[in-house]
Amino acid sequence: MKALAIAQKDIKRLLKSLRFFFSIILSSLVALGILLFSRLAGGQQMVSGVGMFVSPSLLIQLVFTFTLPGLILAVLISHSDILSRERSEGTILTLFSQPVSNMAIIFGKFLTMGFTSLVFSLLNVLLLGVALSSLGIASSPLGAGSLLASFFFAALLFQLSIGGLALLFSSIFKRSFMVLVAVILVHAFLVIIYSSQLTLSISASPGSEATAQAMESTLKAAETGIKIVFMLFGIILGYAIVSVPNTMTSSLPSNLSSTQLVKVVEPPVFKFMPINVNAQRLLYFLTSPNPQIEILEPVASVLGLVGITALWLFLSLLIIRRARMECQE
Amino acid sequence: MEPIELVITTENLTKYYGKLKAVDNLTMEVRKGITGFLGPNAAGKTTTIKILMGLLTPTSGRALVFGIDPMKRPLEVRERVGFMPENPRPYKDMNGLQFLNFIAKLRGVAAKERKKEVTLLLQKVGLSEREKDKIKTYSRGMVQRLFIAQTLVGNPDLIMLDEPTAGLDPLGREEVINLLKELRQMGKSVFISSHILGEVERASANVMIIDQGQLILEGNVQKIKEAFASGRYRIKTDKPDVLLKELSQQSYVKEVWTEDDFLITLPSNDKDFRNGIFEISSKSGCELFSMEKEMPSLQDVFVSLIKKRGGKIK
Repeated sequence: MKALAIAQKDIKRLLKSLRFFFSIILSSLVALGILLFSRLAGGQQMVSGVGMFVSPSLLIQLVFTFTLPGLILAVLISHSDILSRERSEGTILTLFSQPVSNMAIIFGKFLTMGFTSLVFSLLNVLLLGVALSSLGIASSPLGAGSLLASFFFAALLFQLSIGGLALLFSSIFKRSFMVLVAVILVHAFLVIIYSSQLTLSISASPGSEATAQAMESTLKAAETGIKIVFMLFGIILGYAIVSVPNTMTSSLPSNLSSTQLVKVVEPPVFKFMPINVNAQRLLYFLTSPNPQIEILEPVASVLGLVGITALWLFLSLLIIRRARMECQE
Repeated sequence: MEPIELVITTENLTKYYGKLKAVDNLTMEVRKGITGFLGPNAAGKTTTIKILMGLLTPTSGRALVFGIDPMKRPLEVRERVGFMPENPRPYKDMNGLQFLNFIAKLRGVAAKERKKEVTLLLQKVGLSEREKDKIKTYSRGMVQRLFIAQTLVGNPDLIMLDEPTAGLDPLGREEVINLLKELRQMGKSVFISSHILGEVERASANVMIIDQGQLILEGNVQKIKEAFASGRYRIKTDKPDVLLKELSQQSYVKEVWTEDDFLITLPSNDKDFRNGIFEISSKSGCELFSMEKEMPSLQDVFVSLIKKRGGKIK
């Protein structure tokens, strides 16, 4: 009840804030930009300036993988000050001096995160629905409804996890800018760790062989400046566009353009880490005509996401407890 | 005879910030009623209050509020105590009504009673007309009054106010003092920390004075003032020179002199002086217009105490 009161207060505050609407507009523009981009490029045609071939199934992945980081950024922007603002404005003492437990405070803040994640996940599904119908490939062995529902669930969980991370840093730093930087750095670290796997993931998409080859040749020929832009783009969005190294391309199965899934070898430590590689695979799995092959992997990802979100919340709880016990203005 | 209800107890309470000792073996007992917690700046008042609210961990010793240890059961303490911090920070994008409603929810006030209680409290602190205005448009005095109102939400047993008049202009202070008087009339137990002694003197029955984290004086305001009284009398008469001559010859008068239009007398025996003064004035044909015993203000008591300890008044 008390957590709900805190969440209610924060949601009202959030809905009145410009940054929330700015975030929605930003993420919508990113997604719509991708859509427009693909419409202009058309099926297998070359996209001017980037030199990228786009296949329809890869396009869905791109819409999702470009949109999701955009939405995550949006959640971060909206929530970066959820606790840090209370600390910097001193209102945290008002909250601490009431009969409210640390758990209720953290849970209340997390409920606000949940609300925003819900809004952005719905937006995500909406954009995906538009993408699917626009490309005329909404058919899935599981049906379009369940496909979108699965996406919604995956996006929600993923954003909640990132929201939990933002909550953790928000309980550490007083400045929301620092919260944003810290979360993006952690996220970027995971992306760097995963960069080769991301490459593999893209390469493993049906019809992506030509795309990978085109990307590789384009980036090889590109000036250093363009390469750096690609790298920065990847770090900021939490997604890396990288060319497939020759060694890796040759080690991939020859039937990449078919619909068969490729088994990806992951470092054991990061197997269940919530980064968008798993979300991509989930999409690939759901759009594949042979969906039962890696049925356990999305489940493991979901468990990983829930686990890591619980970890962020637990750490936030420890920090807020310490902040309360040494409450000094 | 009713047992004395102890509201706050501390035993050898000590708090260090690094090497700085903010509270030094503080042992005190606060009874039901209005108690002023006085001391110069950095005396350890706010630190003590934060420990009592479970917002700071003491280095050693212990504190009890209504017999409950705020370190072990902080929520129970906060349920029974309405607290106003030294620098109240409200949610400025809320209005007064929304803020008190939010606090009422946190304090577990039932939805049915919430609206009625919040409206009444806003009336009590004189903010009804501004209840729908954003708090960011409130003056400092209005914010202080709003925070006093939030301490009353849920009808707590004790109200703890840390420097409730800090930063207020004389009019704002007057408003807060009047509110404190109202709380006294309502029979509330109030623990007020302040370094402005005049206002506490007007609102409190008992005081605790601390300096450098140590309790240096406690008791009833009137009794403390009497104990620290100089024993001098200020007498207004139509013939001061005549009375001066007469009094200087009396054995029970230690010193006597004129100051402005008054005759200042320091008796060596207070009882004999009070019996003899009327006889002498009558015999010498002097008319007594007024006679009053000089009482020190709490400020005077405080200053003399701190000076005795070799401290400086900040």
